Amino acid sequence: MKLLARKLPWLLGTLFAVSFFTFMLVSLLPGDPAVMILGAGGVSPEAIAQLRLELGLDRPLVIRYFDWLGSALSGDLGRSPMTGQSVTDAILSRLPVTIQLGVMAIVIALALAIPLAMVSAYFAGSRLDRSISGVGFALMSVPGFMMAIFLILIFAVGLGWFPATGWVSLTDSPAANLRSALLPALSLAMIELALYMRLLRTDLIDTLQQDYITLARAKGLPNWLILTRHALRPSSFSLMTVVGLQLGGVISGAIIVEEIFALPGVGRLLYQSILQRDLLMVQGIVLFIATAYVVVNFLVDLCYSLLDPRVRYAD
Amino acid sequence: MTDANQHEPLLLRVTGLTVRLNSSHGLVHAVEDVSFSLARGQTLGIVGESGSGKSVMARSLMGLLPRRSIAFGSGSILFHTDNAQEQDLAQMPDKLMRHLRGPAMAMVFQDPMTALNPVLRLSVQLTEPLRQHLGLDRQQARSRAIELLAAVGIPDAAGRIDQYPHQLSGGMRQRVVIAIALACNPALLIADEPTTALDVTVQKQILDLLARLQREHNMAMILITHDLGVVASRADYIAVMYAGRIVEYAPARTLFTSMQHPYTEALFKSIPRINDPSHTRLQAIPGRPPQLINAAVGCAFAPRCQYVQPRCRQQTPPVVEVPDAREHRHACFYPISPGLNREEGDD
Ligand SMILES: Nc1ncnc2c1ncn2[C@@H]1O[C@H](COP(=O)(O)OP(=O)(O)O)[C@@H](O)[C@H]1O
Ligand code: SF4
Ligand SMILES: [Mg+2]
Repeated sequence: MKLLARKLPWLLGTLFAVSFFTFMLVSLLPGDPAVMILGAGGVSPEAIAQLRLELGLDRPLVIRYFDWLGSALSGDLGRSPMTGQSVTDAILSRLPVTIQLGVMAIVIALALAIPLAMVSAYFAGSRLDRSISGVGFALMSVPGFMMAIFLILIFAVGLGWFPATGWVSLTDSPAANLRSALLPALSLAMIELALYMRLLRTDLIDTLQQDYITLARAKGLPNWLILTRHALRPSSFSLMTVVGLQLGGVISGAIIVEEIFALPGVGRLLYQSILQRDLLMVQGIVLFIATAYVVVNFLVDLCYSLLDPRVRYAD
Repeated sequence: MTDANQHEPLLLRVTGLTVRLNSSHGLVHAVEDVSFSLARGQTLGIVGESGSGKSVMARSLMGLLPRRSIAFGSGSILFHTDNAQEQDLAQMPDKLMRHLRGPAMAMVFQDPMTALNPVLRLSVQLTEPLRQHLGLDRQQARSRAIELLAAVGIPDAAGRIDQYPHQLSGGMRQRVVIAIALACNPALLIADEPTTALDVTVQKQILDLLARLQREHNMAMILITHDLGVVASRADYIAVMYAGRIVEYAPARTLFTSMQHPYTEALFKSIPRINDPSHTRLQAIPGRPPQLINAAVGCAFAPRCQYVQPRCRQQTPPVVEVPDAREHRHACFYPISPGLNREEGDD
């Protein structure tokens, strides 16, 4: 709890900075939002001025920022001038899709990466290790959209096991929901998998050279127990950090995959809002992404103490 | 001194043990043609400067060297298990060897600050061997673990057992490491510089603890140290190691009364003595400690030896028995004072 108290000011400061830069970034983009909403040609200057007034664009930037921040804090990110939809509602209604996708991807990636990294690290330098690393490297160099298209071609078009696109919500039918989520989650997981594996393998190799591992061997423990109980936890700091970053960045990470699989997630919402130049929507989503990023990283910091008792008791 | 090997049953017989390791600098000749034997309940002291191959030797006895780093290994390690069978550990696959680590042989490490897993409670680390080898259930193992902690002199063992290693002092941690080693009542305990990393005041306590436990469990012990003074009064036999070889081996008393090898003498002169006037400086051994990368021709000690002769640089001195002295061997062409009794021999 002391840790929480020490980190809280830092967290709030970061969030403030994040919100400011988000606002500025979008506000300072070239182009007048009012012109964009009404369309360039054939609109009277009066109509544009009228809209600017309605949007509050005539006031100084700093005032507008605090105005926007105040509403944002109360959960109101404004209404999209294009669709009239509340930005907050739009994000919240699509969030479950993206979160489910991100969490499934990370779970799949970890479930594959941890055992593979253990085998690799235990047999470091062997042919098996090099094959695993080679496959990992190949996976890492495949762009996300290619992976998605490969998976669609094989499992949806070829084998017909999964739908190629579309989404069924969890509440409608859990089974169909899993079927619709699996391929997109897998294409995200395949890319994360290689990164997780390399990180964990490196740290495991280092841990396996520690005295306490030799002592565990001197106790006559079987190798699998040494790897899981003695080596994994002290080796998973970098992994946890990156999983945290990945989780915080799940929305931006899912943009392409959601678009390819036509999933109603926040990533796709962002993509389409950018295409339509729906600045208010973009601003809201970017703020949301950045906030999620900062908050998740904060939680990861707190989780270190679960991994390492020395951190826990140092407070 | 009588030959204790004749009275106690033999536990361990190492013959011609040679271990060469891969390293980034080249082939390391860490252990070269090492032979010795050890009876049940006895203590063998192994003495040598840092880098002389003591730890590699100890780890190869337990089969703990990473297989990848072993470039070459030969020799035999005959171990007599409880049912009096003789097994060659050097030939034993790791799957079988694992079942001997803990119940047959155990090890105490040099640095208690790094030997315990920082993320696991003492209870886990102590009960593991009990559950693994003795088949105790969780509750039995826990109460046995508390007994073990108490036996190695940890106050409030029942309260301490749920702590993490970082909550204990170095001396306490070494006691925990000793408790882990003793958990399955091994016939052989290898203590690899168990006090080197500890405060001077704690060193004697730990050595006394080891001696007491050794008596109580009738364990054989290999006590490794770089300080001849540590083993002087605690070992039945002493092997002096230099550059991976045993250069002198003798019953402890014999070694101190009639040491033969110039290196043993140099080590002897470097023992700190409590009753020395404080201004007399310790005689450090001049020259660089042994280099084990790529074996050189001749006696490895030649560059530092004050008795060196041309022959020492051309041939490697073989291990020879001292005439008329039981179990006293050395590897030197020009041994010092054969058979001479020295007055300052007893520490
Ligand atoms: N795993 C290893 N791989 C390669 N070389 C090693 C390894 N362990 C020890 N060595 C080398 O073997 C030599 C003997 O080391 P060691 O047995 O630790 O000496 P001591 O315990 O007598 O101080 C040293 O030169 C050391 O660098
Ligand atoms: S063999 Fe020669 S160099 Fe080696 S210890 Fe003996 S006298 Fe010294
Ligand atoms: Mg050592």
